[in-house]
Amino acid sequence: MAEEDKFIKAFDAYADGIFRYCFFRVFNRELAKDLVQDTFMRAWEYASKGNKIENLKAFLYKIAHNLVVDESRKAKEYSLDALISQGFDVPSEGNQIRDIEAKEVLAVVSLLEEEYRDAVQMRHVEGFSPKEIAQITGESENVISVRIHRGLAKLRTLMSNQKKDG
Amino acid sequence: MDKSIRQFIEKAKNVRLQKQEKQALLSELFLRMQAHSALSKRGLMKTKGFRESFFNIFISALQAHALPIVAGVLVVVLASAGGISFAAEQTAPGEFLYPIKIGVNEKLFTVFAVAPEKKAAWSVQQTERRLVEAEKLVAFEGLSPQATARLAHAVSAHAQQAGNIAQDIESRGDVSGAVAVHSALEASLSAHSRILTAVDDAQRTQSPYLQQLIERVLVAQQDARYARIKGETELIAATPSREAALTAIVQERTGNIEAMVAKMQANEHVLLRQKVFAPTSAIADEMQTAEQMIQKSRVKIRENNYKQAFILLQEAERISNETAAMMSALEKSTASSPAVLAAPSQRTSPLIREAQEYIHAAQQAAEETKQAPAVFIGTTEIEKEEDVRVNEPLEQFMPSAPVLSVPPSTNAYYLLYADEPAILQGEGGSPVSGGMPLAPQPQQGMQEQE
Repeated sequence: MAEEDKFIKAFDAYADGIFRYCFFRVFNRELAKDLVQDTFMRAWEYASKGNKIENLKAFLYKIAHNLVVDESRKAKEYSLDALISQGFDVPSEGNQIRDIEAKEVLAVVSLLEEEYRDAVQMRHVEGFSPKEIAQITGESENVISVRIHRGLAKLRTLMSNQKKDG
Repeated sequence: MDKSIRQFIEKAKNVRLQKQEKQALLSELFLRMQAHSALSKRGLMKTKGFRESFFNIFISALQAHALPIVAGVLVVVLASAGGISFAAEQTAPGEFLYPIKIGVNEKLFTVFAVAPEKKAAWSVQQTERRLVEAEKLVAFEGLSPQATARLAHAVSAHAQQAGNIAQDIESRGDVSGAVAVHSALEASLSAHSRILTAVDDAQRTQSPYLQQLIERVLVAQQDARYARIKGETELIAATPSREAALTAIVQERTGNIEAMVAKMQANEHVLLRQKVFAPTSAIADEMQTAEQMIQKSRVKIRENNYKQAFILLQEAERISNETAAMMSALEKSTASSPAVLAAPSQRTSPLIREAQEYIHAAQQAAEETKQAPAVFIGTTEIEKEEDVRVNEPLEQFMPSAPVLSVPPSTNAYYLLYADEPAILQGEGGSPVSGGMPLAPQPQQGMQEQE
């Protein structure tokens, strides 16, 4: 019981972040939701076997990262071209301003290469340290620091390009 | 980091799950977690002998539920010879002794139910126990997402278990026994889905979790209903005359209705707490429909059309009985304003009696005139009814549930009324030759209204 309650609390705390992480990779809301559920389910299965999890948040993102990588291998339809032609699947909270903002964010994020997107998102949106990101992605801390730095520079360029186009 | 990037990151953080999506995901996840735990435990139990199983009842209770609670209570149980166990029977999820109820009491019952019929009956009972717990929680304490998910999973699992055992019973050649299990399960689920809906309406919980639970109950009810209809179809095929099969089904369904009424009455205490209750206009409408059906059936009997009279009376009886049960429950909860329900209530009992008398009269008349094959089977005339409801498919009168279609070959009503396209297809049904309507028209008729 206590374990279940703890897990439900973890879901409340991290589900949005995991969803965002998956969504920025697959750009499909329903698929992202499935990945969120699979992420938590796998973590639960791991924990229910008696394994200890020290950093639950990082552990969850690591599972999500692996699932997203598997998913990208399975389907290539999440290409930028396909996304642009289909339009983005933007969440709606009944708040039009947020919807517009979300579209702007997605338009830029989709243009950022995955490795930079992951690094910038995990560092600045989800609040992980470079060391934790390195553990999640299986890269070295140095590589991650470089990706964060370059990713931000690329993001800045993309944003300014978008302003000029807009 | 410059300001534009910071603003961009803030915007990115607003991409998240909607509240309802998050609730639905959590609910589903919780069910999966429960299923995972249950499977793990089942795996543990499977290979053990009886004694070990008996021992494991306590061990798994210790593992699955609150260790200190169970351990502490175990000592008391040993000392007070089942006193705690008895007290645990009244509990609901989240209460102190609930783990004893699930982990000890129910597992003991499961171990001792050996015959398939007993096992099936126990699974039906377990389904019902979970639903009663849900009703208690909704009415008295409020249903938490965790408790709802747990109960929804348990309801599906027990109902599935009852269905599986019924299949085993059927595979041994006892179709009638299997139909009895499906019927009992259907009646139980039907009664409880109505009670839960009534309590939900009264409490105005607007809980998506409770809605999911009700949907699950309806889906399980639908499964049980289809299984029952399938079994009845086989029984009809094996019965020498269709009117004998029809009579058997009338009796079976009357039994169902009685069981449903009993269940609803047994749960009246849940409704007692409700300050607000379902509007009575719907009850009055239903009663009016039943009255109209009885009037129509009188005409049919005069015309020697006993089959249509049967159909009308069965429905009239069903509607009357269900309405009576609902009102009986509601009446007690509305002691402060009995006048609201007085009028329809007074009409109920005579209607049920009248319907039953007519069913009996129709059966008698059919036997006496010995024209059953001509009346019940050979009729090819397509009747034009003024009352649309009479010509609508019978299934439309069944309790509402998600839209599902039944293949004609598995539908008892299809076989029974195959020579009456007007009944199967409604007013607009096209004439059919040879007494057997062609697909897909009947299938359209078998779809339930949304």
